[in-house]
Amino acid sequence: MLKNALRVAACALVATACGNGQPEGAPGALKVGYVVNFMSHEWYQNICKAAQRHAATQGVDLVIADANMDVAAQISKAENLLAQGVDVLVLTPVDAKAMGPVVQQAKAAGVKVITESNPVPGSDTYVGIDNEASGYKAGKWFAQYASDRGLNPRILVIGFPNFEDCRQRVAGFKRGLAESGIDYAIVQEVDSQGLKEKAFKVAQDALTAHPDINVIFGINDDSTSGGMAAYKAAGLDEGGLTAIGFGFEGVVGQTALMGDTSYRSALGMFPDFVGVSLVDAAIQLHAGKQLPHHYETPTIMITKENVDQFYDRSAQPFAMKIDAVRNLLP
Amino acid sequence: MKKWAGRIVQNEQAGLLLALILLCVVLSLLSPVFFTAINIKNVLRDAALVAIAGTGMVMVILLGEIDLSVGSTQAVAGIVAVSVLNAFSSVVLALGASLMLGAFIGLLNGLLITRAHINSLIATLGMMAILRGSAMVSTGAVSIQGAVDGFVEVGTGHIGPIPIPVLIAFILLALFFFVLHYTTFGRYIYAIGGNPQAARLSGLAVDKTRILVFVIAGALAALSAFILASRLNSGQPNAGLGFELQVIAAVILGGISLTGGVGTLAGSVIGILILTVLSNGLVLLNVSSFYHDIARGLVIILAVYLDTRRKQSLLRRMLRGAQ
Repeated sequence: MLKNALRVAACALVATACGNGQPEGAPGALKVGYVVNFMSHEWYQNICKAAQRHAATQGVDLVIADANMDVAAQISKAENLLAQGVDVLVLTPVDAKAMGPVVQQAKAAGVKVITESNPVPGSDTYVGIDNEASGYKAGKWFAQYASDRGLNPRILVIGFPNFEDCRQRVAGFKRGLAESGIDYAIVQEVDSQGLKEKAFKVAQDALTAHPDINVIFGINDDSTSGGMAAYKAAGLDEGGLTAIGFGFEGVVGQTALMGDTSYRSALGMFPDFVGVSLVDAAIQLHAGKQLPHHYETPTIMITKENVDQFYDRSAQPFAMKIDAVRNLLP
Repeated sequence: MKKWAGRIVQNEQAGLLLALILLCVVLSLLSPVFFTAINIKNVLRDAALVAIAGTGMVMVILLGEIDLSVGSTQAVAGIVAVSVLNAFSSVVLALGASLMLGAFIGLLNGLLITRAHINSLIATLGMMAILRGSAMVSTGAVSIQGAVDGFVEVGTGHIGPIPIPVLIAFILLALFFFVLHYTTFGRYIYAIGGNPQAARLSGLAVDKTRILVFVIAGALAALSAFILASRLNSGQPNAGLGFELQVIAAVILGGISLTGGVGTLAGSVIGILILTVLSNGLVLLNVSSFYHDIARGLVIILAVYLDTRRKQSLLRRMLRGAQ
């Protein structure tokens, strides 16, 4: 009985596994294969969902595979997609340095290659935000905010130094602050690994060492909200805190911004727009158009005042207003 | 005097306790805030989470088994706790649901090991992956926020000056100290871990004990999940990533032998405190996070090495005495 049930389940699994790989849709449609690095993250989910929606409206066949942070899996999945005859290969590299051979393989087969978030030599373009410039925006915004209110900023940076992107965000933030000429001190930098749980723990220790911290800058929304939770748990006066997020990609940041919290602003990275841009870039490359080395997607500091300009708040999570975001492009 | 000193050296936990005290002294000298009430509370609160799940792990490892599903259980049980909390606006129901789920996961682990005869490393490794996947699937990888007032009290509140998680951990440690050393069930655990064959031939209920231990370990992991969820006021699908290794490292550091049958709960508590104090101190001293892992690895290896040396020299002295 049990054995039979298991056998049925195994067959069903095999069937679905095989069924997923083949691109469907109209013959002659543009076929795009995308191997994402880490689908279980909210950020990439938003990218994938938006890309899928946009692909459907544009009549593009989009197949998405997940590398789940495994370089070897990413390469083999990319090779599978190439074998299936995709016209454009999109990669969010698990490790940009390891992508060279598979990019070469694609080029040899006449397939266009787009990378997301990181450039890889040989690819036709890379789509994504400029992390350093975005961090810089956050730094400049905060410097203005602080000087308007006469704050004496004692800053806790909650970073994720293992990641180049996150290091650049912090570097940009510091550059923005330094260029503004305000008085400030970065009291401590801690590592949250991008997780709320870890952010809470390390922020709690940092706040014990430096109870005078009055500004928290996190490299993503979970880092900032974990830091805010630690601030609250430490019994410090939340009214004196200014928290700045990065990403504004989902419910966490949105609830914090609209609620009565110390979360004052976040750098909006618009993952939906990245997803749309991936498909747009694929269409343009396929049509023979040359794209710049960096196909930049826009970012802006989101506050209570301007959130309605970019988001429809009646949806949960907020729905991005694509044209408003597109207008941010130079 | 000599006798007294000898007893301390011969005590199982002496070396570790000394290491812990030394670590605390050094950190107090280096950081003015280390030895303050707030920081001690922070350390104990962090240690409490590991200790609660660690109590289950101690029993599992004493049996000569291992449980890798603890971290993923933390994710799933946290998500279930917050979902039930939001649906029924009841903290008690949320606690009940997550404990039941944890116990059920433990039961599955136990059955896989005793009935399907799958090695516990493999069975719980599989369970770890299944639970992590379920956490991702059920939430769409997005955390669920708690929407009930009073829920955060469990993880962040105090009774008198004592943080609630610390109180819970203390009560559980006392309870399981009693269970391990003064009940038949506890003696069975040591006996089975020491020599399963002999235990079985002596007519001990080996499989029943194993299953029960995994059920308890699952429920305790779920309890730690509940406290973590309360502290963050959310169920996080990526909660507890690597938590199982943190727990196992602390327990092993505390002198529990991976081959089973040897070690004490008290030793593991010291092991947990050493690792918690260490990571707390490194942040207080503003040491770059890249060094944290190196420091943790060195401390584990050094502490276990010192402990092994001390035990060997004790053994030699005992043998010489016997001649």
